[in-house]
Amino acid sequence: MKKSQNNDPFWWSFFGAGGVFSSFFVPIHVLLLGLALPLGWWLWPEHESLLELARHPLARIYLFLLIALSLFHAAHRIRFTLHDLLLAHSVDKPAAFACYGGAIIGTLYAMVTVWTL
Amino acid sequence: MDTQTQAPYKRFRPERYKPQMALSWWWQKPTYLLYILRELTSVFVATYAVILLLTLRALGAGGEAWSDWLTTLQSPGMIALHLVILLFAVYHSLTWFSLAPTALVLRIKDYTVPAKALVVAHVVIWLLCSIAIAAIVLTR
Repeated sequence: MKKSQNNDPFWWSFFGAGGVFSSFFVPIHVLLLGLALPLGWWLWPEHESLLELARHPLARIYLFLLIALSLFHAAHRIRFTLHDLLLAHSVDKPAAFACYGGAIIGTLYAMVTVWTL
Repeated sequence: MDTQTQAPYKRFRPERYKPQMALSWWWQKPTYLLYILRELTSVFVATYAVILLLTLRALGAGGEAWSDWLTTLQSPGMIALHLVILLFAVYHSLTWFSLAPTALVLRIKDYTVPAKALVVAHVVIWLLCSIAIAAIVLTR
């Protein structure tokens, strides 16, 4: 049997996982950290206490997955949206490299950040 | 005459058919526009992933870096950006949940859970998760 030349299913699985993760968890983080707390609807928790929360093993795993999977989800979607908007096949290869490459770099950076928090 | 290299006569030449599509195709129908808006939510999801990463960097860099980052988050530009990100993020969530029944068919014996119930279940779980995270962060 000829080996499949199409690696879309590989990237799609991360797209799907990231879509689920980001759809459930991104809005509340934006609302809390981006609007509610900066606008003073609620007092910011103490720095030490937030740091302690983020250092919890489950929180580290959660934050890493949230960032990494969101990046892979977005990378896949941005790649195909560029294709749809620009109507040019020639854009696809560089777009794929830039999108997935960016997601991989972001994931490594997130890994280091979460690990050394 | 060399007949080997000459292309045989063909009445129809599908390879020459190039459908003309304007670059502004997504502007031509409301459904197209909604589709592109749904796809563009990914730009804002990626932007937020980066902001969250920067937040963690600031959190880990000590009290002074943290209070500097909070000042940045309070600037009108960042508030406006977060408002836009929130709108797109919620649109992403709702469109994602509305697609769930196409990926997930839930059968209990002979009974197939209706698509609408699946979407509602997703939205309810989403709200519960959001409340839980808000509770965990705000009660610190």
